[in-house]
Amino acid sequence: MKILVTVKEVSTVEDEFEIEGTTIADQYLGADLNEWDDYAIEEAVQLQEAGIADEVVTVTIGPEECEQTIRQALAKGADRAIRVWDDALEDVDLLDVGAKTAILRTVVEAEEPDLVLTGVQSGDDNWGGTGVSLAEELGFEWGAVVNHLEHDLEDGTASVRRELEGGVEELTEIELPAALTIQTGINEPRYASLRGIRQAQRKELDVHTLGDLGVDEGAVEGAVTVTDMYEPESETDATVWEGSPEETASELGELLREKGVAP
Amino acid sequence: MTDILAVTDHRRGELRDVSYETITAGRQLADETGGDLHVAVVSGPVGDFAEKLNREGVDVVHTVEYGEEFNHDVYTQVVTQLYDELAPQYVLAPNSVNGLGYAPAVANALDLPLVTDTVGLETDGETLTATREMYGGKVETANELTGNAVVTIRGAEWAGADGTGDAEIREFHAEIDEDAIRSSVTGFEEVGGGDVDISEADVLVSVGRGIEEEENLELIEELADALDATVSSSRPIVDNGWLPKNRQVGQSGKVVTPDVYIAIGISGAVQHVAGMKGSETIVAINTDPNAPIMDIADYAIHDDLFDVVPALTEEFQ
Amino acid sequence: MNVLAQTEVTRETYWGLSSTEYALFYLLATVTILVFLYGVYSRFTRYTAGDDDPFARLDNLASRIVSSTKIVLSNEKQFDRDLYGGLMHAFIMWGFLTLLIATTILFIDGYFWEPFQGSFWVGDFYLAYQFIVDAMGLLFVVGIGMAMYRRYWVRNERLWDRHTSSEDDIFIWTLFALGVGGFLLEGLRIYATGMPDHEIVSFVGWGLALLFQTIGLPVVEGTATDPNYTALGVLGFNAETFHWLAWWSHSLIAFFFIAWIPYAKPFHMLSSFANVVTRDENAGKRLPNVPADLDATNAESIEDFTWKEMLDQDACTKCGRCSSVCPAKASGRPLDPRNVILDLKKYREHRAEGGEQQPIIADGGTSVIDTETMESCMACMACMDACPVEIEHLQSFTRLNRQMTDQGDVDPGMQDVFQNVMQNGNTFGDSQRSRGEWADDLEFDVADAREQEVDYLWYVGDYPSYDDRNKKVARSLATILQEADVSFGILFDDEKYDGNDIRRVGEEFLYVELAGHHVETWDDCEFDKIVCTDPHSYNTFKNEYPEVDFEEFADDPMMPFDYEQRWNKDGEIDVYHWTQAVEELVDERRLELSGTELDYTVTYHDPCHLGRYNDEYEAPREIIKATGCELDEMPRNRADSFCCGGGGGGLWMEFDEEPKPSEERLREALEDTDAGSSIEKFVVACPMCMTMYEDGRKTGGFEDDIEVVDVAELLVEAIDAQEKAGLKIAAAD
Ligand SMILES: Cc1cc2nc3c(=O)[nH]c(=O)nc-3n(C[C@H](O)[C@H](O)[C@H](O)COP(=O)(O)OP(=O)(O)OC[C@H]3O[C@@H](n4cnc5c(N)ncnc54)[C@H](O)[C@@H]3O)c2cc1C
Ligand code: SF4
Ligand code: SF4
Repeated sequence: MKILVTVKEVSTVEDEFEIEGTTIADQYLGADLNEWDDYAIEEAVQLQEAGIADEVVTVTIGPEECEQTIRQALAKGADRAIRVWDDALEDVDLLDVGAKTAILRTVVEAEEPDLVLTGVQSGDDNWGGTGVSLAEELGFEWGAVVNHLEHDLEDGTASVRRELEGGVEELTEIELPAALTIQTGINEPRYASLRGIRQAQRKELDVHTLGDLGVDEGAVEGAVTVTDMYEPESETDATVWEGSPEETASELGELLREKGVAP
Repeated sequence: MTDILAVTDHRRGELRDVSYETITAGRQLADETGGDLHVAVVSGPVGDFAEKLNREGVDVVHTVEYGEEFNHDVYTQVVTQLYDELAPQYVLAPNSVNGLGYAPAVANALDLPLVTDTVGLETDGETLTATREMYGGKVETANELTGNAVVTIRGAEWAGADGTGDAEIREFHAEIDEDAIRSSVTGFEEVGGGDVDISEADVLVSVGRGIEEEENLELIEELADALDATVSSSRPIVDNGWLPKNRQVGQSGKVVTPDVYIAIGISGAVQHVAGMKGSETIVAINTDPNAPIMDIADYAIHDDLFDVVPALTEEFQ
Repeated sequence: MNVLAQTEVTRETYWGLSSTEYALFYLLATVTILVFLYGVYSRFTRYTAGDDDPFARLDNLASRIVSSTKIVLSNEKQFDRDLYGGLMHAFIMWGFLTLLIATTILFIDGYFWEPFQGSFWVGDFYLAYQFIVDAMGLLFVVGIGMAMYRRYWVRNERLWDRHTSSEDDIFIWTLFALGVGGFLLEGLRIYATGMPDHEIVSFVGWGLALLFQTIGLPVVEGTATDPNYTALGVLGFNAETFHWLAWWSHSLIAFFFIAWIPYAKPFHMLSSFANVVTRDENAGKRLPNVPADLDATNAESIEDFTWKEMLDQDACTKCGRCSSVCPAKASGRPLDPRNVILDLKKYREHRAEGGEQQPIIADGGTSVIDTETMESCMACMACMDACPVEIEHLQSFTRLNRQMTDQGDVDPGMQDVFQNVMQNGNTFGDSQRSRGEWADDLEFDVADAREQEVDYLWYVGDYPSYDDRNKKVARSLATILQEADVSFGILFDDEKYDGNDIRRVGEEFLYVELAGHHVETWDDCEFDKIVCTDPHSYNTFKNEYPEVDFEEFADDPMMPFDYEQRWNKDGEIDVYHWTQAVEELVDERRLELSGTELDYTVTYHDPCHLGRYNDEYEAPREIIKATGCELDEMPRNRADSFCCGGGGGGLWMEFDEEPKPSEERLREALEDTDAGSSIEKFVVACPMCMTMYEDGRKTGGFEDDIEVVDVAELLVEAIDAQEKAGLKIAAAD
């Protein structure tokens, strides 16, 4: 069985930052493997180690700079990687769920995996829709927000737990082929050592343009555009205590005593 | 073409609060487009549900009888068919775990743009402007689209609709293709039980990723001891295995309403806030004055927890 | 048989043996020696089949042997921390060696001397020989007695663990039988040969003979003088028969023992010596490099271990000294250094016997060693310091840690640290831009060593740069250097994490990347000396950076540095811990210090990386004394210091500890020092120790009893420059 994992490099922002237009100024941005995808990769690799999957392939939409992150995924045990990028994507300021679906669909069709694992969402823009949308597009079954996957896919079904609100989990049987969106905490992601990342340079990393995949440039333009970015106006009417830690602590102490909840 | 369809959420015989909030958001959009607000409720005791959903501003409630619990295949089929039938401009769904289980599929099936996790919506009848957060709430963005769309709305951003309306209740006969239902729910399980019930506590000392390392949790435990309070946390602390599941506050953890909630090194992500916003008094200790937690805090200390927490413990020893 | 020259005193070695028995004896002796040689041979072929060791271990062999002989003969390692054990081992070893030499002398005399020019084992020489052999033999038996008393009576804890087995019993009892049997044999011979006067020199045997006389053991007349006498001819209840029995059993036990040597514990007599000879003087403080070759494995299988690492395993005598000083074990972490070494040995032997393959290190009890065990190690080197046979635990342990990293089996806390270092260049994951901000509160500016020439290039370190408590130490030190009027500068955001501890936890290539960055940066700066705040940085800059082969990584796109030489190969750049540099300044009277400024009673904790690693015990002490403080030593000081718990990644991982090493040390300071509870300050010289002890002070409830301060903070107070250091608001305020 073959597993395809979608992997995204997300941006991280320092505490202090500045906005330029509809993005955050570059010097305040860092890059990291999307936390949710990290769990998805680990789950795929564990399935491979358990002898259930034969091959784990990752797919990423992103420019060359994100290969460092892709190598992290390879270092953790994925067999090979696919990266999709195109000049046409350079100009798109928001790649919405529809556009990602259009691109990823062609990759899935070429790879024919039995299982697609995605993260529940990406940590920077948290759209949270790609996995399910992609499954629908492909005619795959799906499961959203999966925090447990039984490592027994023998009879063509995946037994999963979906993490609902309020500490309730739903036990669900899902027919394969399927796409599952993986929630954090499903496993303990392993570390990608620098040796592993260096070794990963020898693993196959195919780069495709939209043309290679037969995706129409118009399809990725997306229906949604970002027109503004700003720091949310603080709605806070909080009383801010100032001073040394001792002073602020004693203010808080006072409050707690006032409320009669502290000794 | 100017109508709004709002799909509701329920679980184990109960409508979820976010359903009423979706109605409010739907009504707001319907006012802006000048259309009607259609509400849909699928599976479970739909008759009872429909009565409850008949709140002020609802024009029609569509009921679909099919099974007891949420199934994303059923919801996808039903909502697609309702869309074909009603031709609304916008389909609204809660940005809940279940909402995220069918809304993207519906959008894709109908070839509509999808905007998820919106915290504000506005339309001039042509262009929809959706407000979303990025980077864990550090910034907000305005997202524009024209034409029809599927939109999910974040919980607790709109007030729940109340009052009683005079909606028409219509049964909708969806044609469910059983072969296309390839997933089945076999049960539910409550997780995170155990010795401590954080929802019972009067004072919660709640810790987030700002604590950095497991061994630093001792600082929090000492404070809790000194205050005779209970320790709770945000999700990453539980994901890391540093505290048991029953200490997690938030959407996928416990909902708590203590007299005092002290959020230490917690940024205040939505899913966290969902679990503690009902606290009587919220105190935030965070180095980042712009952290979203500040928006709901009553009192705040913009300082390093490693200085403030020991000082506070000291205060009570 | 041999007709004796009756004029001079001597004795008959094979007294009462028939010629058939004599032949049998030789047959057995030959077999024994063959079995022995085969055993030794197969042991050594196993070592030669092992991987090459990264270090030269057989260079200067002659001087290696001389110094090892000194270490072994003096028993200095056995006396360390344990007088009883030292005496015991010295008695046994010296006794054994004497008996061995004595037997060799007899052998030479009997086969090479006597047949040609007559025996030299006669007369005065004989008498002296007998006396010495009896005296040393007695010591031997006393030593064995002491060993047995400790093992079976006191049941000394460190001698008993899961690798304690029957071989330990057989070893000690065999030696006992040889020692006691030898004396019995002697006593019976003296008695049966009519107690010749001169034999009084064999005083133990003589005493036993007197005993036989008292109990009236029958003797056969004339056997002593009959050249054709054989014991077989007079079998019965008599001294001759007992002598005969004793003779044979003594010989058989000796044969067994010799043949058994290469197969069990007595092999340590050879392997331990070999291990001392092949020791690496820099073991532990300078870890081996890893080949740049991506396919090289660390500890995927037992085959990955080098011959020296295998010799280590075989040299272990199970004495448990390492485990008894191990702070990880003492605090209840799941680590016992002896068991790690012996588990590896056992698995190696199990594989050699065709046993099933297992992963060497993994989570969850399926492997030879558990990941938890290795996570527990603080890389403090106490075990190596205590080991009497120079086993280099840390070389094997680092191999295991590297394997864990390769496998991705890394504790989540540690993963975050690695990730922070990879992405930001520091363990805090903070922006490098803010690295120099600790200096903002100083009343003066700190020079940028990238832009101007300085004498001292000061490597501040991660904790002093980012951790609030340690920033005070950095500011103190900056002020001290400023007051002493030395030219110094720092690298600001070009200073990254030094890499010492992540190397020890096994993330070797990340370490190389950091080292490459630093040597490349230093190359562009003008300075004389490197001064470090942190002993960990000091250790790795001084001992390890010069050994990294940067050229190997020249074409590696993941190694962004552009540096292909060996750094500081000839040691032209001096690397100092700051206490060493400042001690010089104090000596040169560059600081205003009369020696009476402070009158605190303090104690001092030797950081592992400064003390045991680099033998610097005095510099910090001299500075403390120069401030006027009264320094009262910890009972475990200098080389016996006990790690704070922060080494080997301990700073970043969570353990169930009871007692926490930091709390235990603070307790030691307040209870076990001479000044006891009047110790006011616990002085440290390492930022990691500072962090651990500040924590232990809180969690252990010592806040009201003792303060933790850095040597630099004492000194800055003594020179009254706290204001300048931004540590105290001006009094006028
Ligand atoms: C489907 C789903 C369900 C989820 N359910 C939950 C849930 O039930 N509960 C939940 O909590 N999360 C939940 N999450 C995760 C949520 O999105 C956030 O990732 C999480 O809440 C962040 O936790 P945090 O605030 O502790 O960490 P962060 O967002 O990393 O915030 C850490 C904060 O600590 C501050 N800080 C750092 N250092 C210090 C210091 N020294 N002193 C003071 N402050 C400091 C920082 O400024 C920052 O604001 C869910 C996510 C998804 C997708
Ligand atoms: S280095 Fe220290 S902690 Fe590690 S095994 Fe040796 S004594 Fe124990
Ligand atoms: S490793 Fe050394 S100290 Fe430890 S038990 Fe073996 S011989 Fe003794």
